[in-house]
Amino acid sequence: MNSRRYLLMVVLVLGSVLSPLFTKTVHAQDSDPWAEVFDSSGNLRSDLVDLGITTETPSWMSIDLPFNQSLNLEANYHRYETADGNIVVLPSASTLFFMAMNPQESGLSDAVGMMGNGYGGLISFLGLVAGDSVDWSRLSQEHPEYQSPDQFWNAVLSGKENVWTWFSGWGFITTLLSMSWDDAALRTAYLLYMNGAKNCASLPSGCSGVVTTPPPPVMCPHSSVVVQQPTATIKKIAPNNPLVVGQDTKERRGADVQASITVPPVIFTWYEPIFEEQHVCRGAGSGETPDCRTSSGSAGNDGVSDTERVFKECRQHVEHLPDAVVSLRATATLSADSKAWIISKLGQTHYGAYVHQESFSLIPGLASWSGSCNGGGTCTAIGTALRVPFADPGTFDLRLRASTKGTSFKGVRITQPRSISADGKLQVYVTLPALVP
Amino acid sequence: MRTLSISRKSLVVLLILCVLVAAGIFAINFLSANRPTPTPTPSADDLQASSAVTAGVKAFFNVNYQEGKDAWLNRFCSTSSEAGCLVARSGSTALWKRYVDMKTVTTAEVTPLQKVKQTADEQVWRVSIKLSAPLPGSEKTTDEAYASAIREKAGWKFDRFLLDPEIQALKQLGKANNQ
Repeated sequence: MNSRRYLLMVVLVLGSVLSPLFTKTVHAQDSDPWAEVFDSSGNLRSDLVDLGITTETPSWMSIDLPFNQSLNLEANYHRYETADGNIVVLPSASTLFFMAMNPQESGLSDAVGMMGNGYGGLISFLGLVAGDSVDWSRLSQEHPEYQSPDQFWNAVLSGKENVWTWFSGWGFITTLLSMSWDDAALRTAYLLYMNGAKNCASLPSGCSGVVTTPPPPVMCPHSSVVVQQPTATIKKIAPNNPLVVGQDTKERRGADVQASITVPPVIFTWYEPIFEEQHVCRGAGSGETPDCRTSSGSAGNDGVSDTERVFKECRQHVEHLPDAVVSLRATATLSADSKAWIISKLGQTHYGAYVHQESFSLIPGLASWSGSCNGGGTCTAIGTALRVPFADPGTFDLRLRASTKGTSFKGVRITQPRSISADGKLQVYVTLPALVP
Repeated sequence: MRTLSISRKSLVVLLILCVLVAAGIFAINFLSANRPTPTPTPSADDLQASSAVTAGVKAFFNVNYQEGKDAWLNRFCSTSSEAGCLVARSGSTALWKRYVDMKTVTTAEVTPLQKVKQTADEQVWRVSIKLSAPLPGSEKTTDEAYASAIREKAGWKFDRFLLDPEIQALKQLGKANNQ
């Protein structure tokens, strides 16, 4: 086979392998679509609208259990919207792994491509998270045609190889599934969905937070939407050094934890075309009696007097649309290190030490929350759990999860509901007696 | 022709001897046929891993909606690896809601059936589960599960239930190995 035919064959084979994954072609732009995502320095462009983190529980991320039961794991995405209405999706590591294992069902195959080194980025990712768990020696014995791991992952992604039959270990999946959902460092893939805002129902995580502006009025500038990011905090507010319950017996003080959210208004700017009535002389229709001249060159009356609406100007309107918080949940979970410390180290010196309550709900449960929006469109939500009796010493991971209602104007949806999250830490102390020689 | 004379007493003794020899041969054959076949003693790892899987599966399917989700998960997490606990915590919201809605109370008996696969620090076991009452969405009270255990510093711990494609792959490998 001469070199040109060989090259052509390689291109055809590669094309057939890659085509199931990235079938969408770029219609909206002739140039590189990623140019509206990254600036020349490789940073995310400032005109991207940060749609925040959204979650869903898709069927392709559920674990089927005996007796028709199932664990429904959360897929987690951070999403951005470009100026042209395309959507950039950054899945969490575990989400991306399951997307790669279910490219059609997850919508991965609908993405234009992955940032980084394109398709190779996904292969690198799979090699990183699952490569050590593949039985490479058995694979090379039974499939000597795979000359490199990349060729194997290519076959997996194109559906030609069942990856599950080649795993020698399984623990990496548990580790993947239990990774922190909010760790930005674990989001390595940028997936671009062309016209994603318009077709948001088919996006990973749907239309949550997507800006869907109404069509602009004729003759006026396009309407615009500025989505300002909400601020959210969850933290201990008192006392300085809370003690475990039992050691603050006198006061039973516990700790006060506050969760607060401020959502700035969505600024929707639109333009109203202003018309005015002008007297004109229009051509006379049949049965009408001419009473004016349609032009100075007319020999006599050849038109009839009338009025018509003539465009005068565009009037700008700036709306501050409130995006109210509609749900808020706060939880506290004892960190893994603290749990290990109680069981191992504390257990060595204080026989019988154990973890009393590893995780519990603060709001709702121990407190409720309230929210409101002011006249300027800024919405706030706050919940304070007072005198929370922490039973275990150590570091508690505080998690705040909330969602907003979304915004609309004159019955037209402007932005979809958003998910808001924040994390914090709380240290609970214990006093331990020590023998001094 | 020579005549061999045997007394009646000698004949009786000879017959008794023949009967005793026949009985001895029969006894030896019987004992060797019914001698118990030695079975390999399960390794300490196998015992601990199967116990860990059994404990994890049992804790997971022992459900009492009245005790609350946290109590249920805390009990399960005391038998599981830390990662396995996080997986159950993050994925069980809808599951527990169904248990509460349907006022589910059931207890489970779990028996290890077969070690399906192992590495130095991981084992997969097939176990049978028998429930005292069915769970919502199912009328069955017996079923099987594939679950893994991992070796941690403190010993073997339940890790997780296997995903369906993993189970199918293991079954496929099992068939191929048997052929």
